[in-house]
Amino acid sequence: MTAPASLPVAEGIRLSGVSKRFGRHQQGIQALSDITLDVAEGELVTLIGPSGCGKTTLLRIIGGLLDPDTGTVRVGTLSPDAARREKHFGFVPQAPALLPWRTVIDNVTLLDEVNKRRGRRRADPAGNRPTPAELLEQTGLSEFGHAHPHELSGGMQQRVALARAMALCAPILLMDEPFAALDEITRGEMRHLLLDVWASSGATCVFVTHSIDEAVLLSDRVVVLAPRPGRIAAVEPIDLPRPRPPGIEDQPEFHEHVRRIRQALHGSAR
Amino acid sequence: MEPYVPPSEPGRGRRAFSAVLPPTLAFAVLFGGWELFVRASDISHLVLPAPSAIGREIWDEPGYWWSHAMVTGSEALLGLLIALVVAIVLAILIAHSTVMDRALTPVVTMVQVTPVIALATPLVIWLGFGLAPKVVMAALITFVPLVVNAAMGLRSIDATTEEVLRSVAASPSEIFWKLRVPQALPYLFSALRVCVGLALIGALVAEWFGSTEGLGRVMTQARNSLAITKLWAAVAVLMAMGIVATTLVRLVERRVLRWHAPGRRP
Repeated sequence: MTAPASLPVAEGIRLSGVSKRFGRHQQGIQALSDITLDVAEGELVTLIGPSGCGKTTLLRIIGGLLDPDTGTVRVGTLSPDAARREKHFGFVPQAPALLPWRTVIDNVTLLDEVNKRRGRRRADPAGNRPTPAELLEQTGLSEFGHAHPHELSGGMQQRVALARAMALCAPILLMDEPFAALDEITRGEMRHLLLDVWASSGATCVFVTHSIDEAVLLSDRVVVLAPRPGRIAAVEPIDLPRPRPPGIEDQPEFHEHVRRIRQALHGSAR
Repeated sequence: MEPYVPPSEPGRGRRAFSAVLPPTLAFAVLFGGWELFVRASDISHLVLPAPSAIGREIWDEPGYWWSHAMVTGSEALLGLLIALVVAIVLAILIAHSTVMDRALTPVVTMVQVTPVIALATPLVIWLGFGLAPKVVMAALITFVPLVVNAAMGLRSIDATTEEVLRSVAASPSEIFWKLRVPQALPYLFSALRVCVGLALIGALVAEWFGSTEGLGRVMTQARNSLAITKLWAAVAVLMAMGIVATTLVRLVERRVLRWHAPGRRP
């Protein structure tokens, strides 16, 4: 397989009629029912909803880690599985999931070392691809390149996970509650760091969260999911201007969006 | 952002001192008490020799003890290495295939529940007085902890980390080498620490039941000629061998697993 001529900065995602059921017969759980959603190139969409609404399942289906029972998923022109093989996804899970025997910098470059046959170092004529040193700089880890993960705090470890996802220069970022395990102050810092990193990458981003504030701060659109069966209850566009600096959380427009999403969540729970 | 400073080690010398002093005192009390007990009481040296007499026994004939220690030591080491290779192969099969797990786990359990010492006589009858039965005994006695721990380590893979690797379509062999093997190493080392002692037991017991050289042979001869001090000297040499072997494993472990977070070692 030859590498594509240039690096796609972003790709859109199309989901139509996606359903997923876990378990068989009556005891099974309908995790997702008939999800249809388009994510535009370069858009940041959050999936929000109560536990069990299938938001992580949906993210895993987009990422090709799980197959839907029915419906189709397209990532650009590719199936999720093909996109995965082409290394089109930068994935940040809830836990940092670092390899403890590797230094920070070796964790950041880990994903370059696997799946080598599939044109892993994709052509980069525009010089979009950040070097590991630049990534560490961008994520505030310059001093820690040769530290081992157990020497870092949880917040710093999650920065490494973010840098690792960005290292691929992937057109799609998939984030599964990446800041949920962090303390409130660190979480606030990480949200703004993500906004910076995402803006400079230009990638499309699907972000799973259960924090309304986080969804409003980050998103172009917030997709509210309802549980049993998992379905889209509302889609809320967030028209706050970008860049969104720290302090934007205190503006009345921000609160208005938070209020509307809270209402949508309450409505869907009934 | 604060600059990164590697964790310093304050008062290294003092810490080493406080780490060495308590065990030294404990040994001094143990062996000093033994020595005093033997000297103060009228107990015969044919029943319980003093530590000083045992030490002299070894000191007077270092070449003799060294050559027999080497025989027993190489039997134990060879058995341990064979068990290690077999255990790693079986652990990979058990961890990767449900069918292999079902087929092999009962076999491992069978070896586990068998008092391996019971096999000493039949093994000597089958394999003779040479190296073979000792190596087989050492391998059998160390095989179970090694295979159980190695399989557990290979299975203990972190699901989220695996998912990160799968998100870029890492192949199963890449996941094996990048994730499973390093993850299994701490488990394997903790089994090895136990197994160096077990391997010595295996080799020694096999020697008791028929041999021409080795510390087990020294012990059976000493027993038959009522050379009780010699019997104890063999125990002391075996103990020293166990300490050296365990220390070596610990040193290698500390070097290989430097990355491992303290307290996370299984």
